[in-house]
Amino acid sequence: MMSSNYMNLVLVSTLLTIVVSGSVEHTVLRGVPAAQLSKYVSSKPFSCLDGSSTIPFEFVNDDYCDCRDGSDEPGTSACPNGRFFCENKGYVGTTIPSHFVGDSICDCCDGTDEYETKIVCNNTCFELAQKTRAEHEARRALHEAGVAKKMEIIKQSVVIKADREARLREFEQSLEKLESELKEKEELKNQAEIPENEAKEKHQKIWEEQRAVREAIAHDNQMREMFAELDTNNDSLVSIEELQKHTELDTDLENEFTAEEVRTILGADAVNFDDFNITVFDQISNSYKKLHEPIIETPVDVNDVVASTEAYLKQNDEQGQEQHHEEEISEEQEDEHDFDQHETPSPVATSLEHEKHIHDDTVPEYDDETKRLIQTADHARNEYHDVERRVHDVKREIEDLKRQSDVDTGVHGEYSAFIDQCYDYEEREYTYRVCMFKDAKQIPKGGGGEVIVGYWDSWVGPTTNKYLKMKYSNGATCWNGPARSLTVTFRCGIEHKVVDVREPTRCEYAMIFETPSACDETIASGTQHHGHEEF
Amino acid sequence: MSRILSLVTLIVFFGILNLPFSENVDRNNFKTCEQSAFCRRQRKYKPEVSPYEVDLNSMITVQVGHTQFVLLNTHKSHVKFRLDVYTLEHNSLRVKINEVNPIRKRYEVEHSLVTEPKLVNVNLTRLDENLIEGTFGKSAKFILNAKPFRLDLFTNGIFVMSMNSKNMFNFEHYRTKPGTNEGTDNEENEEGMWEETFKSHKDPKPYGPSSIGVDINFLNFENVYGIPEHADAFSLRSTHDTDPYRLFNVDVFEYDIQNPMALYGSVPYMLAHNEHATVGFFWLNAAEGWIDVNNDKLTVQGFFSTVANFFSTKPGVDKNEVPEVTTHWMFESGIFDGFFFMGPTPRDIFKQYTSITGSVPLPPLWSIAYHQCRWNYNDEDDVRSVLNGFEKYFIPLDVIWLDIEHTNGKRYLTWDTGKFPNPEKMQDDVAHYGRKMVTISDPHIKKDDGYHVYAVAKSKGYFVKTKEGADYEGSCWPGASMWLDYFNPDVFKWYSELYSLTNYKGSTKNLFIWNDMNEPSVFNGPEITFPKDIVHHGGWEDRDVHNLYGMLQHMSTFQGLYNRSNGHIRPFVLTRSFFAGSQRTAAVWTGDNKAEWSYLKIATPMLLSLSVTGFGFIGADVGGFFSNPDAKLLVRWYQTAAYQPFYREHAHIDTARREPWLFGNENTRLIRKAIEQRYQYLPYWYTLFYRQEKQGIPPMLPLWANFPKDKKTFKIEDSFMVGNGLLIYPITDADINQVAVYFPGENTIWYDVRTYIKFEGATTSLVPVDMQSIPVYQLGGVIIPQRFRRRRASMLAIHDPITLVVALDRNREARGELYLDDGHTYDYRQKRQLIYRRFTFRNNVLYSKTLDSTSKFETDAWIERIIILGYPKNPTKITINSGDKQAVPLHRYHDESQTLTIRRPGPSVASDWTLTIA
Repeated sequence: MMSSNYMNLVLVSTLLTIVVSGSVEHTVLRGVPAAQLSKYVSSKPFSCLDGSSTIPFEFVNDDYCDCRDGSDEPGTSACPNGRFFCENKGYVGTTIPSHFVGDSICDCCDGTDEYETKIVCNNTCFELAQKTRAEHEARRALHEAGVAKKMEIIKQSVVIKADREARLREFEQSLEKLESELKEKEELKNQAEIPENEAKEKHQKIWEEQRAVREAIAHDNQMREMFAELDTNNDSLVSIEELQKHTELDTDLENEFTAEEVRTILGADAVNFDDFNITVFDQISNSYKKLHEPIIETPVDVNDVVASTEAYLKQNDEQGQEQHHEEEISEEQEDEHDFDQHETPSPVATSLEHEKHIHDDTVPEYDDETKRLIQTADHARNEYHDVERRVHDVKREIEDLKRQSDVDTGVHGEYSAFIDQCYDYEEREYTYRVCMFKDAKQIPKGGGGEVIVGYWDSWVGPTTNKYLKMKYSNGATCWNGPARSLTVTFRCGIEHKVVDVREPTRCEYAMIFETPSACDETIASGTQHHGHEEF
Repeated sequence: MSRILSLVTLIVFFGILNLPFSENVDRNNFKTCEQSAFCRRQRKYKPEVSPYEVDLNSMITVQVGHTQFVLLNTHKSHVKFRLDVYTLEHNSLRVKINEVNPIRKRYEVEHSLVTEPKLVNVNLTRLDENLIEGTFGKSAKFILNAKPFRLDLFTNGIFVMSMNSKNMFNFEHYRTKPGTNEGTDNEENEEGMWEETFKSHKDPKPYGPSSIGVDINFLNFENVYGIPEHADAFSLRSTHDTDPYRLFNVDVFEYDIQNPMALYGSVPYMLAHNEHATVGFFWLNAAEGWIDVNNDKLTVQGFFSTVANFFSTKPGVDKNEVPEVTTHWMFESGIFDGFFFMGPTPRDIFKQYTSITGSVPLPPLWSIAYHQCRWNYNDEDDVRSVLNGFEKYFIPLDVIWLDIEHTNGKRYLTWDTGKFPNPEKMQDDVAHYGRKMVTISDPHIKKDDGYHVYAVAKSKGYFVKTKEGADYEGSCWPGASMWLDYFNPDVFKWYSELYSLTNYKGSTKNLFIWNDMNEPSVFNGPEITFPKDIVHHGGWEDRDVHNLYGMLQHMSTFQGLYNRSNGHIRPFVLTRSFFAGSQRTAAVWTGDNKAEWSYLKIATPMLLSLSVTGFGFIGADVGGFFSNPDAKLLVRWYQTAAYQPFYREHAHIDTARREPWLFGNENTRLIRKAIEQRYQYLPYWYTLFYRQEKQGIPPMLPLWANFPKDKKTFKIEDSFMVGNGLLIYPITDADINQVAVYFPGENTIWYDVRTYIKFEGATTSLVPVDMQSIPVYQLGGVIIPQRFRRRRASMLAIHDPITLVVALDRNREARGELYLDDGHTYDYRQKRQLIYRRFTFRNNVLYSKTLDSTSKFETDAWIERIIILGYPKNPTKITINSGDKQAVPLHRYHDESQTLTIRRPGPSVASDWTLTIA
């Protein structure tokens, strides 16, 4: 903005000092590093280092800011963006913002930044150099020891990796084999099951036919029995009067069992056996009770049921697991009925429905031929399932190995030792547990539920080395706040260990973790200068 | 800081109220006027004719300037009142009304006034059998109407205020409870007079009704201001359709904006302003108060004689209708103790009010610089890393704060030694860079015999009591707690001594104090504060003194810090609760605001309301206390608050960290730039704070304070001024690329401080806006001293050179002041070690002259640069004379912006000099 040239230059350069009260001692080169001295030549006008303007050399370090980039005032605090070079003899030269100059705080170890203030800065460069050297050496030694361990990890990682790959190949090959074997076994199984099923079906069919006959006979017997009971006068007819005694057949319970109602059941004033069979029996068989006879079940019946059930179970057990499995559902149904029986002795003990269950519902044993076929089929099935299980196991192994090799364990696998490892940190109230590449938890020491602080997310270190930080995110949500998360910062150490956990912001945790994996070869070798030029 | 509202309460709250938009506060926790029995009674009191009459024959002159009358209620002739009229210096009038021989003494507020006001002579004239006229001071006059009682006030012959002209004066005398045998009264007994229940809290009201209501009316005014603290408009809204504005110090969790609910502090002082006059009314009363505001038109016809006469003598006034703001003030107990400030200018008003309640003393320089706070900086490492962050990113910083978590279990004045094992070293490390620290100290004392403060206070009976005489126990941060009774002078003194370096272990001289939760906040109390019937020293119920509690705490804290240095170092105390007079010993912030644009916006009217009522050292939490601001809001808040007096970033414990460097490089740069703006203008700010101590003029001002005749400014609250030289227009919307800025004042010129582009006064201009800064303008005619150099902390810059920015007005003239001292001691008062100078630019000559020839302050500071804005041409020669020395400094001239920059003029800031442009 201010583009015009200064006026009256000659006049001022002689008069200026008269009124200057800032008492600036003109050391023109103050604050300039040696490498840039060539740009500050007292016999020539000074060009601001950004080239924005050119000023008389007298304006350099005259405690007034002329250059936009502050380069005319390296030795004073006049420019807000100037840079002051501390020579720091005995230590390394450093550059500080020029607004640190003359603020009564000793920023350079040689104290040169406070040349114009009243405070006295001790020259601490020698001590600082010693201290820094010692620190650097300690750091270097640490990294050296750490790097040695890291190399082992990397070496180990190579072995592990090779081993993993070998195993993977092995598994993949055996998977191939197993899968073809599985196919064969499936074929065998299917072949064995055909005759088995045929035999079983045949057996079932026979049994069902027999049962139907038995049921028909039972039905007939019951009917005859009932007819005989009803036909109290033995005239081969059941009359209204005879049936009317059976008030249990009255469907509306409110009034008497009227003759009209009875007639509705009989369809006539009296019925002979054939008509009874066709029209009446089905209507009344469920409600019908014998007159003047105890209603309760005889204990023998119950025992029969129990006995037959046990026998059945036993039989099934002998037939093997698969069979047992297939029959499981019907068995349960049996159990339920059985259970009902015990709980509520039924008042309809004579009903057909009921008798059918009690007496004849168990499948008879297979014949020997069928048993043999089942045995053969079972064998084929077992062999098939065996192979199937092995395929599953191998697939899982392969998956695990692939997951492990998918984990990013650093450029050289230096973090491979972390795989499937957890590390704890004990704090006043909590134990923090990080399970590498999996999750992180906060476990209260005084009891109470552990809280997921985060699930493995990614490496989040700086672009120069993303493996210096990792992040676990999407943990349990805080009330009124975000989901918890954890950032793990790695630094060089001899052992793997958590050295600090903090919560700088509610629910955002920060862990510091020492590990050889984070040690640096360049630091270990001492070739890194840390920006310093000399000691 | 505030309570964490339980989830349950929140759910209940959202369940009950079906609100049209998201609200924060649980309004059910706070009374409405209808739920406050006295407010209900007073608000409906509107008789046709006032029953109160003054017996003019009873007039006595007690002493010069103090006249006394008997006042009667014709409906209850047995109750007598005393009416005391005091004519005060600075155009002010005080009127007290109290019962004669009440059955219980009525509370008269202590601790609020800075000193007993000085009386001046009054000329009393009996106009007729019903009217007495009193003239006093330069231009003040009152007319007392006897039957009915009414008081009219005039300044420069202009009718400005009246009392009881709406017949609402209603004084509930103390009485015996009906049904008791001694009862001689036959009073009406309304519900709520002798007992009142709010939520589960019963207020037994052992002394019965005691409230006072009165109407104060501002004739020919359309705008009234003040009566903080409310999160509401600067020009007070009519309460016709809402509750009255409430004055009752309470801790409102997540307060809402744009409503008249009570907040943390109370100042029962209202100003009215129009183009002719600025006047004020202050009712010194510390009880619960409610104030109705109504904007009316007053029909003059039928008005009685004096007023009608006034209008008939004023040409140009519409005789039928004039605007009027009527206000109805209601307090639960105490006496009527009203101060009428007659102005007539804004400057006069500031002087008048602060001569009664005191002005803000010059704060230490560092305290008006930038503060970094958070609930909480967790431990010493955290503090160090924050400090390192400011170093690393070259962001200036003066103070780091520690909230409640730094203590040992919320036992104030102790440390959590696990986290802060070496607090002295930590403070020394911070102080190494010229910086300070602040710790929090709340008034609730943890009930724990092992806590030394509790143990001593308990044994000495220093806690506030229940009406049965037991120590009152409530709940706050530490759980079961008790509250110190600062009304007891022994407690006040003892508490102040807790802050000595020996008593406050781990404190150093670089540690200062923050008093929070001092309304006080009582989590399980009615309206989250003390029950009304608890008893303070002297037998006063909290009902009588409630709004004083916070002030007494911070006054005692201030005294402690003052004594800590034997009166050598200026204390710094921040308080959340306050009352009229708090400004003498504490800075105030607007409490627990929210990270939303609307809260950034409301900060300006809230701070202006505080400013005009005596509180100059005020601020709002940068970024918003609750929830997380996005980078844009945070940057805008930093930019705005850089121009508001108290500049502190603060955040709730549940929020994400928000130190300035956590939002990316560009936002870090913008925040740094905003903070640097503050440091650049610190010489100006410091000068304004000095002027405030001397003249009561706050540094942050409404536009009308500088342009009292510009009607367009009267309602402005989207912009404000810093001193008389800077106009600030905060950007309070996320997406905006231009704003309409009103430049106040006829014939004024305004210079954009970034570009030096000029704007005409009395116009509204559309101004483009970018993220680099908010719009800031320097008024032509004002010289503003600045420091262009950068430093880490303000105290490191006190001897740095000064740049003068001279903005010329239409007559190519300008004026400004500069105040300098050591920045932190009382040597400016005790040894007169200060520099106070005036710069005047006239006829192409800039003069520097001292305003205080008896003072002297040793400094190397010199004038390194003078920038003259609006200089018409490139001069041929500039000479500067200082004593017998002469120099010809260089200059540059920029045609387009008409800016003349003079290079290294060179004189010491302490010396007289003359710079001549030829």
